Amino acid sequence: MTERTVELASRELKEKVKELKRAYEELKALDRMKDEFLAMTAHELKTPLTPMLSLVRQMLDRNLGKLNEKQEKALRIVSRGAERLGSSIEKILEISKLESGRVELNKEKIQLAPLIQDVTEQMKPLARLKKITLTQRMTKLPPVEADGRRMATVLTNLIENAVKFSPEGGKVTVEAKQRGNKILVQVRDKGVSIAKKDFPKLFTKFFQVNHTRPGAGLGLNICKWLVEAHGGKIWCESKLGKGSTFSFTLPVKR
Amino acid sequence: MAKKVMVVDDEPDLCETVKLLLEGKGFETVAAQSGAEALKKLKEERVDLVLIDFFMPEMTGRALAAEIRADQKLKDLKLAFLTVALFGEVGEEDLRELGILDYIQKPFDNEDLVRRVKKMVGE
Repeated sequence: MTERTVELASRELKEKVKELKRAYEELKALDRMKDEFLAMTAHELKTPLTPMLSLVRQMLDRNLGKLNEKQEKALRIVSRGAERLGSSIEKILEISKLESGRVELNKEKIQLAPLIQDVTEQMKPLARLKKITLTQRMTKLPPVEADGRRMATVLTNLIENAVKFSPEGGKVTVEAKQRGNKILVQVRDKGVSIAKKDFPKLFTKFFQVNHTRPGAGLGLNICKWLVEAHGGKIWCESKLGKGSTFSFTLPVKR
Repeated sequence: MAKKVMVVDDEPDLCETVKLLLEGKGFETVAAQSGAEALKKLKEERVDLVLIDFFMPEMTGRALAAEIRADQKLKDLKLAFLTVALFGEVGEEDLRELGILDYIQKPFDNEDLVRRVKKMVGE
């Protein structure tokens, strides 16, 4: 290789490095813009939603006076819409944060049993709307190392789905037991069956089993992110006419 | 005597919403739509708790809390943030340094907000 060729190659390399640096700076700027956009979105969407959600609830709770039957019916529709909007905003923000890799899990030694109990209790009003019996079955569980708030999100999403896809008067069960050095949590429903071919797609973003049900198709994707970030696995089993079971594992705290 | 809660938020609708909720539960309320208005009103009337929005133009929630803590007459007031800000945006250190009792996220659950307000004012 002549001196001239080496010089040319070296100049070319320098140019490439410059290009890469430029591209890197551009990406960083885009990332900052995305963050700012998300923060702005969160603020702009949540701000008007807060009075909507609170006031509809206050009216339904008769905090602001009596209601007739038609008014109550109308308000329940507004309430469901506002809650759905709120839930979608939260999910979009959560998935954006998870994908950006900037989520820090606040892992600590926690007991899953009281957490499962709390989330199940919180979900009972939603289940009652469809006359669904929501029960839990747990054996004695050792502690896990997990971010309690995020685990509550996983459970909430799974129970919300089970309720959503169950028929009126159905049954949803949350079970937790120890399996070796893992805790196995399962949410069972007797609702819509899921075709085996759809199993791999279930946990991907925007995938929906049934387009007639509301939802952005983000809940299960969030669950997968969070369970895997805790060193666990998540999967689904379903049999025609028998409903579905969503399971996830978490390693026991040593 | 009913406990009095001040709501500081640049969104008038939010102030009105929290006022309606708390008044329905037997609290007295007062609203301020800026940090400056809050400081002025706090010097005129006694309140048991101040719920402060974090993102406000001119004086932010953090700046208002700092002003309150720096004021001899107001420094012992009970303060909480009521905000869309994420926990990470507020910062745990700030909460501790400013003596913020609670951090309630918007949108809030009515019952949860009332329960936490009651706890803070010692009801």
